[in-house]
Amino acid sequence: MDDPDIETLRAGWHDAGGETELRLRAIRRRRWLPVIVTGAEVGAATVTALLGAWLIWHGLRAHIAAYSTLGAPLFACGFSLSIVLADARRASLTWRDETPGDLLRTGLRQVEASLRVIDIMRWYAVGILLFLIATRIVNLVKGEAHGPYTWLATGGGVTICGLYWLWLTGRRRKSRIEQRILARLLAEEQTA
Amino acid sequence: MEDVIRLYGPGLARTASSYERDPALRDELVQDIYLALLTALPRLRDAERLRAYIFKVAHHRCVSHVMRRVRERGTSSEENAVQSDDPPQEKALMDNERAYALMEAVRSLKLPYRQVIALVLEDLSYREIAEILGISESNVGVRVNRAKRQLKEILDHG
Repeated sequence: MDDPDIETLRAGWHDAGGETELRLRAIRRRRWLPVIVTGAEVGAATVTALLGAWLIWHGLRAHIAAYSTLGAPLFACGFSLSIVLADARRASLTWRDETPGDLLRTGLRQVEASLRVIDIMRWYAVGILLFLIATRIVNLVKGEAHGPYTWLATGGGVTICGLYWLWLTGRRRKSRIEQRILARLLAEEQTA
Repeated sequence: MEDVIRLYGPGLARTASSYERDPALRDELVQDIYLALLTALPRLRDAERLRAYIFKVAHHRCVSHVMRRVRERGTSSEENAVQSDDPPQEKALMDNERAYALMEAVRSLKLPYRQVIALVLEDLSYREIAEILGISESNVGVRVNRAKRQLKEILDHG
């Protein structure tokens, strides 16, 4: 490319460089970190699954239902979590041959999907909140003997749902901004 | 593999600089690019495409970085760059005033123009740039001309 303007710019451009050796030393230290972290995560999930399996087995042998009941979710969660973690790490380390436009499109789709999930969760929180309030209004939860406890449980539930709703609303606002910026970047990419 | 990174290191640092102004975040970005290259390079079958492949991985990581910054801060990295107030530190890292002014000008371009001009300045051909960005060679030409015009305006009146 014999463009005199570009040649002039290139002279200035090549004056800006970096300390490659310094950075190489840093990544030599860093490159095994993701593997170690994944190993630890998968290891912890596997230990949880094994503990769950042991509790189920012990519960069945000793005829203690509580052990088996406790072990079943531990086994199910630990087992599925270890598979999900290993798969997520594998996917994150795989190079996907995407162009900048593809990346922006994928990012935008992910934000839109997360916005849909956030909206569903907000309605879910509102639903639980209304249900808890309704239980008090119609006095569905009767427990004169345990009055303070039922009030505490309902009040706690309402507070948690309220805080969760507020957090989701904040998250939704951030996702909307993210959606707007990604849409703008994608539009710039398409019109350039 | 490290020899390849050593050879293209300065170019990759410049690519990262064109996306991120904050020195600490830029350093992190360069390291991310190196790590991505360590994963991606063994998959390269055609050695003649090495240079284009390396810059494709670099721009891929840089766009991911911009998207991550958008997610974390709710603003794009170029908007953050305007708010950032550490140019003297960066100025000291760059060899001269001209390089600093040019990098600032490149960073102020919109993403599609910034990408093409950064790749042209790294001496990649239109064909290689078209492959990296997934656009046609004629579109590369259009973008380069627009980017050049905008850069000239910024540098002349900047």
